[in-house]
Amino acid sequence: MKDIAKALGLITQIGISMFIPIFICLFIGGFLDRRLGTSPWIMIVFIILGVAAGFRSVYMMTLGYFKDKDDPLYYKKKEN
Amino acid sequence: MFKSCLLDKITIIPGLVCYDTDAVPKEGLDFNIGVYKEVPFMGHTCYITQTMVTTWFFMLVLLVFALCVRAKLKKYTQVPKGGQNVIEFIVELMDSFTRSNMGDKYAYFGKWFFGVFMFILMSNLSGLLGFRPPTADLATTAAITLTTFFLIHFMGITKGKAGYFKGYLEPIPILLPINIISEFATPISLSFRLFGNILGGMIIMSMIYSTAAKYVVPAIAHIYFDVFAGVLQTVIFCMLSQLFIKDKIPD
Repeated sequence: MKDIAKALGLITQIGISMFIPIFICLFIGGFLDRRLGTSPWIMIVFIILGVAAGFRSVYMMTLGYFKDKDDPLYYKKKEN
Repeated sequence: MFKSCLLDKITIIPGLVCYDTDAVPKEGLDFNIGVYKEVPFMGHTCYITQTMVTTWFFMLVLLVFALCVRAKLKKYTQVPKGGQNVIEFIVELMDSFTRSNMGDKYAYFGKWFFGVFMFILMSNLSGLLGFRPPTADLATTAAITLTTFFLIHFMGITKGKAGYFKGYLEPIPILLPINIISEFATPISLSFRLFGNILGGMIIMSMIYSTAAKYVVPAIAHIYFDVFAGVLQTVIFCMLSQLFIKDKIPD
């Protein structure tokens, strides 16, 4: 039961953590563009950053779930 | 033009947009946070909203309940009997839940998350009693996730020391802005999921009550949108908060 809740939580969280960074960057970029009058260049750069950040969020979350040290994808905390 | 059109169509984002009396339709369904009183404060206007009043009421209920239990447990026994059984069962349930997510070493987080769990559960289930759930307001969920955000980075800095700051430069230093953005996205996504789930349930329930109550039994929808979604989102919120905090602590 607890595993089901855990999996459900992670699945539904993955979608949200993909789009929230994109939206944050969209708003920051739009705000900076309006301030500096450089529409739309800063927004484009920030959206690309946001997509990468969203991917990073999803990656870190799934990595935390499958915490297996033998996994070749496990690079975090290798030094500790 | 886009903004006004959006506000005409979607006036159902309470808490997200500022309270704007012109944008609220005067008749029909109103999902906005009700403003009871406007208080002038240092040149600004503060709004005493329905969310705040309901939150104060729940805080009062929880505090009085906790004080009553504490007074009753003054003469506790080693082998529990009576009401002490129930209290110990609830507290141990949350403790073992925390222990399974964060390990034995950080089981002391169970006390904090017990309070968070009780408050969110009570808010989510309050739709059954006809309240507007406080968690259907982004301000409430944002406040709760702000504490989670603080705990994540406080534990990261105190336990991880230099490794915490080094973590932002991994795997290559050029990814620093991406790492920072995704750290800030974590509490926002946590608050939005709880807010959105409860708000969606609340909107569907009020739509059923206002239009389809003759043909549909609202109790069936209450079971799914209030009880099932409410309890599940509470459990998921606590679990994800614990996992995020655990993630920052080095082994």
